[in-house]
Amino acid sequence: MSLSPSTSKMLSLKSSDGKVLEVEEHVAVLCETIKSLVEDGCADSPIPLANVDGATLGNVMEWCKKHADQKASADDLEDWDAEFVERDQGELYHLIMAANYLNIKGLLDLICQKVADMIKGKHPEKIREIFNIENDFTPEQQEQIRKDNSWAFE
Amino acid sequence: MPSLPPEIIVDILSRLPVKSLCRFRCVSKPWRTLISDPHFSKMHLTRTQNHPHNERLLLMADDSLYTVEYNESSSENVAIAVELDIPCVKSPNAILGSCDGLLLVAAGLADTCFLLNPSTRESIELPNSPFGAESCDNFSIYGFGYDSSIDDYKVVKICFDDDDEAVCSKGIVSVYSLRANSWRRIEDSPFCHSVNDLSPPGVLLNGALHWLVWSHRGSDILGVIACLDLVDEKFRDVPPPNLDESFAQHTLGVLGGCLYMLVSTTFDCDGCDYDVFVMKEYGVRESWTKFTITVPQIIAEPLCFPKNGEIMWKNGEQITLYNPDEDTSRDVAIHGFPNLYEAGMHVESLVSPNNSNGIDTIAASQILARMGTQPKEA
Repeated sequence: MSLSPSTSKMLSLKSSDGKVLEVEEHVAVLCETIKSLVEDGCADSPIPLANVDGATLGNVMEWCKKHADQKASADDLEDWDAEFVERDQGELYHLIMAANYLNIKGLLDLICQKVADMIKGKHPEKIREIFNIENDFTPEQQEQIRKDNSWAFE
Repeated sequence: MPSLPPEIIVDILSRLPVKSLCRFRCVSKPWRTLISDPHFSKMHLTRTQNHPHNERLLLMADDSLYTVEYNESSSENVAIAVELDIPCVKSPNAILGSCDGLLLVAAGLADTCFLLNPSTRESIELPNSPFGAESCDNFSIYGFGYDSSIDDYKVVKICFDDDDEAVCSKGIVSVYSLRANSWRRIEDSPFCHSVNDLSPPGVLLNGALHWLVWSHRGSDILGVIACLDLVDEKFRDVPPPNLDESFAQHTLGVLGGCLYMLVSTTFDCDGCDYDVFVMKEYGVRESWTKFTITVPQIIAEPLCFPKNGEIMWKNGEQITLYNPDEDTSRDVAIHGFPNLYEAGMHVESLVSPNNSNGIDTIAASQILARMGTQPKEA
């Protein structure tokens, strides 16, 4: 009997807050970080993922499961992804950090694009708030740059 | 989003439209430095080029430039033209080239050349070429493109003497380097560029500029496509399609990444027929394939060629977009625009006509590494 996804080996992943998630190997290896562990034969015990909390890990694996599904069409995935990223900033932030840590390019691209769409056209003030950035310009410098780029504020 | 890693911030910003990025120069000093950095411009450009629908239409009329919010997927078929206010460029009168978001534009009575980025409103005036200026009373042909081998933008000017129509003088060719901000003379063109009165600028494809020219072969004069490679700066010729008549009035362009030639065949009150020759495989004579299209209005003339493969026609107060794959056409009315004169396509980019003076710039990642050290205390 050939190995079908349904008989795929299970991996257990342990989140930063101690939750253990059982995930099929063919789903979990969408994370390059986990894939290298599996390839190196280091994936036997529960794999500790110190930078990812349980809730975020659940979300990440939900995305991986959908994208590991051979039957899903490109259109289907696109619609599904659009719904998947409908989240608040906090959740998006945790997803970016997790996708970066677990090295999942597709998911990272998706969330970065979502954040780009979210901040497009916003005012600099709002951007500083979202990214927690200090305004290090003097009021005079600020005025000058604003003047030089005035058309961008129309 | 507290303390995102710098490379992720760069990734997110590289996905934004230029207008937002110009706005975000006000966010902080590291952001301003990043957004003005040539490495970041490249990254942003690469991402933009992967999405052909990011192409913008630029129109020129009544000594002004207009950028058009032209949405190919829009069902409304109405586009809004917005006048571009670029203070240095007075009375533009010709679009001579477009590459990576930079446009080469001639302006004023003396046909001074400018390089401008319509997305960032930056521009520079080019010095005049000192080569061949005396002998070529305004008979010059231009081209503009990118030399990937040295990461430089080049303007090519071909001057030729057109006094005696019987004699086809060879062109004096000079190349302007944006990095060096100066002109150099290269070998004379072996072709006769005095083909028609319009002197259409060079067509950029595969890092080379292309013009329709005459070539002397013994006692014969043949119509060929001259090609100037922007890396080695040598002229070659690309075999044209087999045509019966002279191709003086034909148009050269790029359609879906292929060189093509548009040949008008018949005019009558129903419209005009054009033969479109497409060179499917670059440089291969046998790969020219022909199809015929009919454009309804007799006043129509080809304007430009968006990367999505459509051909844009000037059609009175509106433009008509013809899709050769589906043999369909649709009209787009343009609001806020006086009278169609000339058009070009450009991509949105941050590429600056000002920052290529050989100054070493800091890599984006280094700037952002500094950014990472500056988050505000939460």
